[in-house]
Amino acid sequence: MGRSGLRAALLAAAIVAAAARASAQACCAGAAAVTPGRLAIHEDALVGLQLKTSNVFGSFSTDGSYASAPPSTTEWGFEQDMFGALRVLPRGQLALLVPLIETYRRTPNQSSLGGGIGDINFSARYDFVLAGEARYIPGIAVLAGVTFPTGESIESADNDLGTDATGVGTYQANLGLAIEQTAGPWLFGVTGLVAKRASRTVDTVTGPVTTSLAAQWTLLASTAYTFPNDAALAVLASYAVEGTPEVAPPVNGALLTPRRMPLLGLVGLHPFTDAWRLQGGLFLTPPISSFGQATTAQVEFVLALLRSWS
Amino acid sequence: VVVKRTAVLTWLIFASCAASPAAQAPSESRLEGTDGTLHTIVPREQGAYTVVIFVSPDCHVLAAHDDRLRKLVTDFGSSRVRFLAVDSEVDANLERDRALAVERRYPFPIVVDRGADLARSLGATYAGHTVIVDHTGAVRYRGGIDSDRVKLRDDATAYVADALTDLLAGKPPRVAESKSLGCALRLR
Repeated sequence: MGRSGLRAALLAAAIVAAAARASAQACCAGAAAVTPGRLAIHEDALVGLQLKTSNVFGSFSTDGSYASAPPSTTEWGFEQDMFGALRVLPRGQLALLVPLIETYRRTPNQSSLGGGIGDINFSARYDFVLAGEARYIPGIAVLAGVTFPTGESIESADNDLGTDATGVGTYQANLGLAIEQTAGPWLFGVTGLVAKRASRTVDTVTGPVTTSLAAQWTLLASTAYTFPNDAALAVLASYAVEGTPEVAPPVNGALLTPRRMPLLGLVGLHPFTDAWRLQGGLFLTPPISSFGQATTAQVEFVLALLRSWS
Repeated sequence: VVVKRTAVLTWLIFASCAASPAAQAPSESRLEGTDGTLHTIVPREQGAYTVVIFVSPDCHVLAAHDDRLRKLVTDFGSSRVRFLAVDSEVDANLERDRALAVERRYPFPIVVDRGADLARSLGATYAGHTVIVDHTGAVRYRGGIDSDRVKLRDDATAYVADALTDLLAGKPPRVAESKSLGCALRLR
C-alpha cells in the first residue's frame, strides 16, 4: 500500500500549494514538509481535519511498464488526518499530523477492510526570506520533519490482504528546501525533499532480516493563483525517486529495485471567513509507462477544513 | 567553505529578523506625492495627526479595505487629521502610484518612499500597515486598519477609527498596537 511517509508529504505539500494566497502575500507557498497545515504569514495557529479517498487503478512494474489493475481486484484507501500548526517564531512554525487510515482490498477470492492509526508526523518550517518581500531574492525556507512508527507495519498486519497495515514500521526523517516567489497574484514554488528511513529488522521464515530503504528524493513544483476574494487555485507536479533497498542477510528471490513515483495535482481553496477555509484537491499518478517504477498508480481526492487564528 | 557557509547562514538569519519599529517618526523626511507636492509625515500643528497607510498595488488584502479607508477619510479627515498613503516598494514610482490612486479612488495622496527608509523606520513590512503620528512625531498607533483581513465583518474591531476617536478626544488610544494582516511589502 502506498501510504508511505513520502506520499503523505507530497499530498500534504500539494494541499499547502493550494493554500497559496500568492498576491505578494508570501504565504502558503508550494510546499511544506509533511503536514497540510502551513500557517500564512499573518496566522499564529491553525487546526484542521482532512479527508482522503483513493483508488488504485494500476501499477508500474520494476522495469517501469504500466499495467491496469487486474479485473475483479479493487483497492480503496481512506484517510482522516487531524493536524495543527503553531507559530513559535515570527518566521518559524511547528506542525503535527495524526492520520487514521483504512484500506479496502478485494481479489477474485477474498476481500478485506482494515485500518487504524497511521504514522504520526511532526514537522518544522523556517522562512529565512518570505516570497515577495524582495524583488530578486525568492522566498527561502528550510523544512524538517520526523515521522514516528505509530502505525501498524505490513509485517505486523494480521489481515491476509494486509489492509490493517497503516505505517512503514520505522522512523523517517525529512529535510527540505523550499524556494518560492510571487508575481502579482501568481506564486511559483519549487521544493526539494529528502526522506531517510531508519533500518529495521523483521522476522521472516528464514530468520530475522534487516532491511534498509534507500533515501527518497522528491522535487515538487507548483503554481498558484490567488483571486481577489482570497480563493486560490494551484497546479502541481512532483517526482520522487528512491534507490535500491538493502537486505541483510541477502534473501533469495527478494525483489529489490529502485522506485520512481510521479504525481500531478490540482488543488483549490475557498475561504468562508478570514478564519475558516475549505481546501480540496485531486491527485493523479499519470498512467504512462516509464514515468513510474515499482509503485502503484492511483487517483486521490482530498478535502480539508481548517480553522486558523491570527 | 565553512566560514562562507556560516556567513551566509548568519546573513539569512539576520535578514529574516525584522528591525524593531521606532516610536518616533522621522520629522525631516519630505516625500514626493501623487498630488505634486512634498509631504512631511509629522504634522506641524499641536493636536493634529497624520494617518500613514502603507500600500501595494498587488495586495488584495488592502484592496478589500478600500471602502473602509475612504470611509475613514469621510469620518475623520479634517484639518486635524491628514491621511497619507506611502508606497515603499522597490518598484514604487509616481507614475504607478498616480494610476493606483485613480484606480482605487483614494481621497488622499500617495507618497513615494524611495529606499523604503520610512517603512523601515516605522516597522512597516505589510501592505495595510497603518501608523498614526502626532505633532511631536510620536507614533500613537501602529498596526492594521481593523481586525479583518479579506472577508469583512460588521463586528470587526475598527482599530484606526477607535484610535482616532480616542486621540481626538484627548485620550490615549484604547489599542495602541495591533497586527497587520496584509501582504508582504516588496521593500528590496
